[in-house]
Amino acid sequence: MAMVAGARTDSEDDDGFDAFFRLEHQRLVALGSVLCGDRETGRDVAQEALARTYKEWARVGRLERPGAWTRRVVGNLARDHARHRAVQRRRLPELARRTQAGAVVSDIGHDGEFWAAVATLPDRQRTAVALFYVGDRSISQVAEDMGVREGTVKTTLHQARIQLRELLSEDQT
Amino acid sequence: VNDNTLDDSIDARARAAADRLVASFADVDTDAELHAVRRGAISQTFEQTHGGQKRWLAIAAAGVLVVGGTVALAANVRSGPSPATDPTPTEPPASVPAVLPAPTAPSTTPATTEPPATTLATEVSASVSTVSYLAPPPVLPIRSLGTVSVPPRELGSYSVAIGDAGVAVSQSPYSDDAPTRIDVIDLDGQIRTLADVDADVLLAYGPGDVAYLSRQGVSIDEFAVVAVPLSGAAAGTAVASEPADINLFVEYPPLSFGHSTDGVVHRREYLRGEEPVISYVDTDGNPAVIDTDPATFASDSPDDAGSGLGGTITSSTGTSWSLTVEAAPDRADTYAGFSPPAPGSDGRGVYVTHIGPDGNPTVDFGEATIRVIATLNPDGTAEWWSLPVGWQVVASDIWGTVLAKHTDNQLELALADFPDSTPRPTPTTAPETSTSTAAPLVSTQLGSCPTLSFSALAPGWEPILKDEQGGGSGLPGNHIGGVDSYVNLFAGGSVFGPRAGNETVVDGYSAIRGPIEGGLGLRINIGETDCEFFDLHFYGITERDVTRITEGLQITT
Repeated sequence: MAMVAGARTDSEDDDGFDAFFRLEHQRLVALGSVLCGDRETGRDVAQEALARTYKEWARVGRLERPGAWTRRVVGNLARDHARHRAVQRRRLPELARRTQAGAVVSDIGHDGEFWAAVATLPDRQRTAVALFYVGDRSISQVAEDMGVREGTVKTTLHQARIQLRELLSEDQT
Repeated sequence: VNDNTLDDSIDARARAAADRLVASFADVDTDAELHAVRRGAISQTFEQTHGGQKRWLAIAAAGVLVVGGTVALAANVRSGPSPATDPTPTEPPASVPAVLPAPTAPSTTPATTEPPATTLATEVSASVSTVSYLAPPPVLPIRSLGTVSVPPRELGSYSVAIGDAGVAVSQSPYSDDAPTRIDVIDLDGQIRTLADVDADVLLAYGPGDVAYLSRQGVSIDEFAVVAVPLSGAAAGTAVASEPADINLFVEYPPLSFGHSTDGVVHRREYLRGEEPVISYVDTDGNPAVIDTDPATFASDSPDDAGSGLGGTITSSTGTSWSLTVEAAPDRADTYAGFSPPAPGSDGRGVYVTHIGPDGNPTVDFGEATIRVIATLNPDGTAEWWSLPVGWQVVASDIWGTVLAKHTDNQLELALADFPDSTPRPTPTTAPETSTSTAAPLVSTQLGSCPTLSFSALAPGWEPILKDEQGGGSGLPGNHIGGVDSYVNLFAGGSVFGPRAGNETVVDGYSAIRGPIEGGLGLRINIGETDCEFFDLHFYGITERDVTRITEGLQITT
């Protein structure tokens, strides 16, 4: 079983899940918030991902890096959420007008302009940015989380920064 | 200001914004949310919303079941087969057949009667069929169907199903607003495409030209399974719909959905008494029936996801099979779990898993190697086959078993072409493409350890060389200790050894490491002391591969 730093060994956490939860929870919520575009949905997505992690803990907890599994679930749930929004926009034109990129990140909190720009990035770039900055993951860890090569992550992040630079400078002008 | 500086400024801004964002969640009551999860809380995002207020629904009873299941799994894993502590015998037989012995005599209760599909027979009359990563079974013959274009893995997903009208492939790009597309390949290889299907992910296809897909509705609680005709006046639009629990439709392995007598089912949930997720309809939405009743296959696998380690499988026809799977200790874990057993053509069932060492041990969900499939024959016998390298089983139902090979934006599809003949092939009657030798193909007497290298292999045959990661396979005693000390090299796998490089040393002996394309096994025997000799045995690999290996192998003393 993977060992998690700070894991309690009392009877309430003899499987290590509590320590894992406390270690990962805050960043998973932030990660979900960026990927979903609002804090509450992000919190729900993180909670759902952790619930599924708990259900599978006998298997996931034995992984060397169980957090990678949970982050993938967060990503998948966020993607489902995005698809759901896309379906809504396709079928409800009125809703589409109300859920432009700026609107969906209105509840992100601080740095709204920056996260609104992140929300307009293509899915792959947005995921890389979220994992690298919000998830505080290294390049190699992001590559692992996304199932791509490190070089791909570097390129993706570079392209994301270029696009963010353009978007944010446009806003300033 | 150069480009890098601008890049750095965005980088700094992103780091600062991320820090503030993470910090803004510091007041979240982690303990309360942890408690909710431990009690089986379900996010209302995936259930219902009420006036924008999200609630947490604690289901204490469900929580108990989850905990109980978890404990049961852990106990079973610990008490089950443990390849890591049961390493390869240090003195394997001089000739390990590539093709495993035929199962014992057929069951005394052949499946000649067909009780209702949902009635599981309790009688167990299984013969044991074993597969081991140390002697992979022969390669399964496949029959090519054709190729369809699909998104690269990072840009979308695809799903495959087989029906009486052919094989259907749905693809769902991740990008917003991209419609779902379905390609259908009929059994003659003709492809037709429906470019805009009003649903999301394909679950099953047929009977008739009707596909069954999951669909997220216009509001968040409207998740459903829908029936979509692929031809006729209503092609591409839903003609029937059943609400569904979204949790059954996220992160599931291939073969999870399929056909039953009554409708499309989530195979594991159906065995637990759940109803079909949707009944069959025709292209106009009228009720339809399936001509042949698909059997159901229950596994005694200890957890929902399945262990991928065999066990006893019981069919609704009253037949049982006992499968023993010896997987490499460092077998890759799976993200979505292992597939359940499923019906195949001609009354058989199929069971798929993978048994080779992790092909990419640097990540949690590495690369499955030595994918294998067991055919569960109606007479109670079972046969194991290796899948061709790069292929995996993506669908199976009474009309056939579908394999796919995904490369970039292409998806090759093929049908499993199970030989009709039983008893199964033996080493002397192996499939045409295979060879098996008991006598060494290369043998020499050497006074010192030889250096073996694949460096002369043809392009495309460069071994993928990796260090063992973490605990690795261990396998104490595997490589040393007798005249028959050996190293195994399997299709898609790698020689066990502690070092990277074309040349490596295994327990003091030089060896080679790397994958063999399409082959089944290579055994290198190294002398007991001072490498006074070594020889190579090939099992069940193709003549072409034997030639390429022997031509490409360099031996230096």
